[in-house]
Amino acid sequence: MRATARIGAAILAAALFLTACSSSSGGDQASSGGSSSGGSGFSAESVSSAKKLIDEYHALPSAPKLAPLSKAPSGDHSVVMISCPLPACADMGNAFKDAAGKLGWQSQVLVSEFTPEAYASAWQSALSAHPDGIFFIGMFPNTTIQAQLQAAKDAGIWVVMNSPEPGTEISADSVIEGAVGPEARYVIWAQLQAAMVVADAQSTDGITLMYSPAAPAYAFQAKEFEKYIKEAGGTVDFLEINQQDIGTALPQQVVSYLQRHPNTRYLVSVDDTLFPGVPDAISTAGIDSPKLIGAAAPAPQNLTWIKDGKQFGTVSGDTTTDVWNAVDIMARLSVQEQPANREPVGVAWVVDQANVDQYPAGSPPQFPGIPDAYTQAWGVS
Amino acid sequence: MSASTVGEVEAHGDGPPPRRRSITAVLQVNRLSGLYLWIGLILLFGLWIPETFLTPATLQSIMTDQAVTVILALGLLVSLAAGQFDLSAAQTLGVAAVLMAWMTGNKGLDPTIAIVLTLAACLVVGLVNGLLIAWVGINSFIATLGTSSILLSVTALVSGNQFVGPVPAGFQSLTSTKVLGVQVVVLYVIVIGVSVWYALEHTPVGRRVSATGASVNTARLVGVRTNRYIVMAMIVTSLLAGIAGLLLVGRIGSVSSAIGPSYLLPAFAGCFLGTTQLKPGRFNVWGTVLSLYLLATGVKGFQLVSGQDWVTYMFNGVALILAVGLAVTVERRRTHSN
Repeated sequence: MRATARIGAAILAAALFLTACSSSSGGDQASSGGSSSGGSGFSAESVSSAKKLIDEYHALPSAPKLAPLSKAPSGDHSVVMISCPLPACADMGNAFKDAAGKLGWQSQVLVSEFTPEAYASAWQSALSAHPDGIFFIGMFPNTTIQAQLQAAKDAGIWVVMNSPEPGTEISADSVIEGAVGPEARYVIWAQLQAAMVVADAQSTDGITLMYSPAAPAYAFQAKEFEKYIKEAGGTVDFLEINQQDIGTALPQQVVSYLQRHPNTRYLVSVDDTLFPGVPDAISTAGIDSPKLIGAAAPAPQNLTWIKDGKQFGTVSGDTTTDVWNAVDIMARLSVQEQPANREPVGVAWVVDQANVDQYPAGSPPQFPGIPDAYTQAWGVS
Repeated sequence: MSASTVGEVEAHGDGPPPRRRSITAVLQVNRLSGLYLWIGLILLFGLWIPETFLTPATLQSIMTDQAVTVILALGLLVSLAAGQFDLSAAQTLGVAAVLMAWMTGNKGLDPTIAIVLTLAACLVVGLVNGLLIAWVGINSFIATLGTSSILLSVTALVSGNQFVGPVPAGFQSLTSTKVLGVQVVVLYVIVIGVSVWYALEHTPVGRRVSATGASVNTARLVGVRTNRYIVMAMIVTSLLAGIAGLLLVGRIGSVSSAIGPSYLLPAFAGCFLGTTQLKPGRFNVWGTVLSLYLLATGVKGFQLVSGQDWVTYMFNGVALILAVGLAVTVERRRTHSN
């Protein structure tokens, strides 16, 4: 009997422990709530404003307008990119080599694993190469590479960052002189995602944002999304996920969430890459699917889902444009020119069933005017 | 009567003297603790959150979402039965998924040909693992760790570190179809489970594999060609990992090179937890299946209660330690009292 009692006690203890832990910090947070009208729909003014915003960003983005360089850049420069092992980073590495090559610059791409040691090691390797410029993808807070950033500044190396943490100082005097994918980009992405919901929704609740709180840019985007929805009079719930669970545990987590929140009508993700397996898991469970809205980097599968109606839409960016913008900042610094925009937003394009067929082909997609707009501005061919 | 007994067994005629049987012996806790834990969890969540837990959606998602892990674990079981660890199995799953997505989604190859080529690649992986272990003499832990790393680079090379796919809709229907209201992947699990169970426990080949796993030297002395069975076991593990990979990509459509490794720990946890169930001390098919669905039920229940993403890892770890710990304790007490 003692053993049986032990089993019962163990189950109870484990259950209580897990419950206590889970209820203390709140996994999916039933948060927010402005002046929610609880199911009566957004105001006509909010809907009109949302539709107007969407219309502005619904056309296929045109080529960026860039001022010509004040003088021809020297080909005697070398640049390094510190990249990550994710698919999107591989694309960026290729674009970096292409862009630097157009300027006649030597380029090197260092891929770091997601460990602080590997990240710091990649930075040391980059500094050891004595480059003229470093473009890096932030994998950990910049405090972990503060010494390396200062060393780069002291050595006169141009440093441009991809997706800096919100609040990062970007100026001619700071250690980071330029940034692509800055705060402003996440603001507009979040606003466009929220506008898609507001323009379509029949009620102000049942809106959930899925994001990984470990990524500062995602957390920032989540706050901006919530801000827009609240100002329009709606409420947002949050589903916090772990990016490592993409395609494995994540679909099940989403299904469980939808079972607990059957009134969810919109499931908005800060990134399209979080969706693999989710539509199928929802369908398998036999529950009603909310409208899925993504952002950032729609893969061919996301585009197929949008065509088929399994995904409502996305706000597309373009990492290739980001990289060319980063090299453009370096090119201007190389000729002693102050970049007119040290934090270019890049592409923000609302894609839905109406315009998904216009999505550029290729992997990565070739947006109009890329890279011609840059090569013309640089005076190279 | 002590608290740990349920009463005396009546003496019949000249039979053995009456003896007390503990309730743990009556309930066979040493081999059925997982089953009781599973029932306990179902009762717990059924009472706690009946409106979300006791639903067809919960049943469907538990059964289907665990299918890939169960098939991978059944493959691992074969090599474990032969006394070998295959740490490359999860990455073989990843290779299969990436190859299938790349060949059909990116290169437009016919799915049937792609399936054959993918499984052939997995067969080669198993063959290489088997030869490294049986003929070269490298410890299975080290050999498969090495091949796992090589396979990771192969997937990165093939995929270009991109998401590859999506696979054609026709191929996806191989996993999304329902048969008599049951998701077809559940039927695949049943068919593969019965096949592995029959092969391991009811054929001479299976007995020789188990003999090899119990003691290579003893098996060799009694005439078992142990190297051959080790190679065969590694090939079966890789092939089942390949099938699991095909089902995975059929379910999620697009995959990246990083998809495989996350399946390693749950599959091994299921196998080891399975050794405490039904046939204690032995790797066995139904113990493994029971264990994995026990874990899936617990994870699902806690997800429905709290929604925390770390619940999966926490519950898997706690359940593994609890179940194995209890089984060991009960077995020790039983041995002690005997």
